[in-house]
Amino acid sequence: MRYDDTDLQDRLAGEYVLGTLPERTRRRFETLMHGRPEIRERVVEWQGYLGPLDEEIVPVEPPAGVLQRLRKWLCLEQVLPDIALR
Amino acid sequence: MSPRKDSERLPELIARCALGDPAAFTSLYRATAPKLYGIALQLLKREAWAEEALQESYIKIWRNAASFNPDKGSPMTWMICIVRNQSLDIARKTECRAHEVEWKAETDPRRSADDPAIRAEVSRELARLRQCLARLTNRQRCCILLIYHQGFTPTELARSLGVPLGTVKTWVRRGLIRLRECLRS
Repeated sequence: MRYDDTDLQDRLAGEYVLGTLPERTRRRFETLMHGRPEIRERVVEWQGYLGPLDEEIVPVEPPAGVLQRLRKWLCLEQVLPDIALR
Repeated sequence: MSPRKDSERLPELIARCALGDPAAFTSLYRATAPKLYGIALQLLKREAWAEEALQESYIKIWRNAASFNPDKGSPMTWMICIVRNQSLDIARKTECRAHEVEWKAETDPRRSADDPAIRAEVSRELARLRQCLARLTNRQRCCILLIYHQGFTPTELARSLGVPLGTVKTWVRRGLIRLRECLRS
């Protein structure tokens, strides 16, 4: 099968982590990754190479409404009173 | 709140999310959302889109918490992968992104004091990566950074640089290969 080619696996993993795979290719690659640990490992390897770049991103506090909406959508509101969440 | 560092608490918080613990979700969100929002903003340059990316990402994080395996990468790597893909999905759906820039990192007053540009110390991994990036050609390095940080597609880069798409793809591919060689050595 085409995806047994380790060079191809490696190229796709690198481009997946970089973010250049077209949407459909990316989805196919993700599906493939779930059933194939060796492909998953290549992705982890590339995340190790490029991931340190995330350090360069400065955190920004998101608007307060995002958490409120998430808690509502995920039905987390009624389960615990807010006081317990501090 | 536990005195332990956030990074040490994250695997436990994700495990508790997998069990449906709402308090764990809120703690996880508070510990990680500013970083993920920063990444989405950097990629999308618009508040509304970045908010959407953030929301969709946390829905995925909550629903897929059980599939997170701490043996296969750090919690932040897992979550950043989710928010990056979510942001790219939104970016690809919208056209003329580059012309609608609304958010600029330099002028956002909400940026935390944890600014890497100000912070003198970077991790050993980032220092090493920067050394290796410096060994690429300017074009290879610029393309890789513009794609990773700013979410540009090779097509957008080819257009704005006035070169064929295949040329940009080659720069990227060769750049990645050289980068890996350098990081492995």
